Amino acid sequence: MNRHHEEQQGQKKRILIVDDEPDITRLCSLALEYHGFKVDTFNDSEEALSNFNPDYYDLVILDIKMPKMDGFKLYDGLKKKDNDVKVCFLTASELYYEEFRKKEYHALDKTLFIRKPIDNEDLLKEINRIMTSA
Amino acid sequence: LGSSNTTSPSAAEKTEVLQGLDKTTEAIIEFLYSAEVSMNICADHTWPSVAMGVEIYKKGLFELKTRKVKFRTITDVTKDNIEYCKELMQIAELRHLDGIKGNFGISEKAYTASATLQEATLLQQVVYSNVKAILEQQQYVFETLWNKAIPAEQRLREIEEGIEAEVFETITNHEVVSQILVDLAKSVKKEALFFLPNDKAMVSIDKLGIVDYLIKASQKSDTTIIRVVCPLSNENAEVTNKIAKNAPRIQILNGNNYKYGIYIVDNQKALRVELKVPSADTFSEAIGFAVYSNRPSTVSFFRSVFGLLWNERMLNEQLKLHDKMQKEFINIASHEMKTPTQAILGMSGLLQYYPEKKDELIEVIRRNAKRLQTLTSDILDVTRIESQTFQLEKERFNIYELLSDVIKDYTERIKSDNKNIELLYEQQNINRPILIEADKGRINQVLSNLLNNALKFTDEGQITISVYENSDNENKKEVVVKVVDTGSGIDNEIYPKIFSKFATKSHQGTGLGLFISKSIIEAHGGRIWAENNADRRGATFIFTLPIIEGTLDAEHNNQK
Repeated sequence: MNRHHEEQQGQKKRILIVDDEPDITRLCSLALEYHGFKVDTFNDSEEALSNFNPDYYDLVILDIKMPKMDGFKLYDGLKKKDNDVKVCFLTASELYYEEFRKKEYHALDKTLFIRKPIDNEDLLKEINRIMTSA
Repeated sequence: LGSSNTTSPSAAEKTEVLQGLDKTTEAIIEFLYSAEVSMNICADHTWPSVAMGVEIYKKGLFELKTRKVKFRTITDVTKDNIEYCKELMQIAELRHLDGIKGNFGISEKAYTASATLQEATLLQQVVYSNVKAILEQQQYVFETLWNKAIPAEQRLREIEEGIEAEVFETITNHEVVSQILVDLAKSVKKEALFFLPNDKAMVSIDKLGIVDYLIKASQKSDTTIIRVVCPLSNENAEVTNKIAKNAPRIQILNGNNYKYGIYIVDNQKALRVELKVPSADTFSEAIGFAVYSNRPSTVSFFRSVFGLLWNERMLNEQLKLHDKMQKEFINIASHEMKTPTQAILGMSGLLQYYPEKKDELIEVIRRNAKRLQTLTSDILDVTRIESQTFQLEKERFNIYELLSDVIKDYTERIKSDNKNIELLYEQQNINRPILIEADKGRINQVLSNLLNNALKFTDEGQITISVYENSDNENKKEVVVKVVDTGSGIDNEIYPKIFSKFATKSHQGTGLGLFISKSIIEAHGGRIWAENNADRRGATFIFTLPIIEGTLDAEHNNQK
């Protein structure tokens, strides 16, 4: 909460995107940078975790199905480093996400999941919605 | 019964009832000594004592063996006649039939019967006949009984081992029931069928040591069948893990909750136990009354009930597995389709914002459209393979020609990709074509798939394709094609399932290529397999195809 107050007006919102598909991270960063966001991306979830800057991002967007460490494990890792960071999921795997929601991540708000494929305008709307939600 | 050359058939045929010791003894002696081919006697439990206890009969019967007459006999083997039976077994093949009554004998020449026998005594009354129709009819009766009877050896063993008498009892004392179940588990030799009423039952029988007896029985002999149906839960996970670890041959299927348990051992003993207090911790607290029996009919009834329940559970497991695999396929396939779709959708939307990046964006779109196309055609192939509508368009061609075309293609591709990889080709030094009858497009697909994989996992070094003739296990000629790379090799985790669907760690492929390749090669009667190279550098993929003897016919050779 605190860091939002400290932000200067007009300062760019920072978004971190982790997806193992380079085409997807490239797409998201181009789309969001066009709308004035500052975007960092990683294609390797372990690298994303070890290089993570706490108290820095306004939103983190995670893919779920990734090699080495899936999106939920990465979520846990990021939350340990920064409990206040806002995290949402951008995923193409229906069942995977349904099943995980049933188990240990049942507490996660369903509206934090964005389904691929989504066009750029809708993606932007979703992101703004999540960033402004409580 | 071919002895009609000694007597004229109709004239001498007669059937008579003989009374008085002289006549009956004479008839029996005549009956015994006239037999040259076969002697079949079926008689009650007193007969062994008559046969072996009356000297004159005994002598006649022993002489059968001297004349090499085939002597078979059925009786009721009991504790009391067991010694006579053993004597009989020296000269006859003896079978046991529970409680058999009625006494008759048939040779190829005559039939005799006696309504009553007395312990070790001459026969008082005898029916004698040499009427062919009667002989045939009685012979049929004998064969029917013979087939129902069990070998006397088996019965002797049971008696000598003091096998308990047949019982069918209702037991209300819970401790006695527990003890019976423990004894049952201890005695398992060939088969144990346990149907447990709830998940706790597994834990409570384990407390009685019963699970350990089953594990021991399974370890002792690999032909012992042990099947358990039981609802599986966290409650009994520890016990089922113990079984899986120590006796993997014990088969366990997940069951539903029932009001009773059934326990059948060696097809000889069955116990049915009512469940009264499902939540109780110990076996004896949980149960109500029980029925125990070793009667064959009762045991066989419980055994068939178990069989039905087992099959139903088995079917259920298979359905679940099929369902799970189907779901997984749909899940992965949809994930694989959504990802390139996302890229195409998003990048085409960005074209208006970033006109200066047009080339990069179009390249991403093109790449993902191609990925989607490959995926779609792979999924179609998989669907055809799995619905068995996969068809080959076979033609006869020289595999050398196909290989040199493929190698030309890939040499150019490697050059244009600027990869530091050398593509080598090793061909057996023979001056004739290797002919195969195959679907050229499909074999090309397999080769492309193997080469694409090799390229994908090799950053630098060599990819070597070699081809040679070989004879398989059945001495049939086959061609062997090897693709050897110097890349990262096959991941240990992936290796066992490398030819199954979606077994990939790469993100540049559909994970279907090797599955399809295997299906293509096997549809051609060939084999395909993979190994990591001995020097720990790279992997080798090998496939074989049957060689066709003969020549290319003009029809297929018109390109040259």
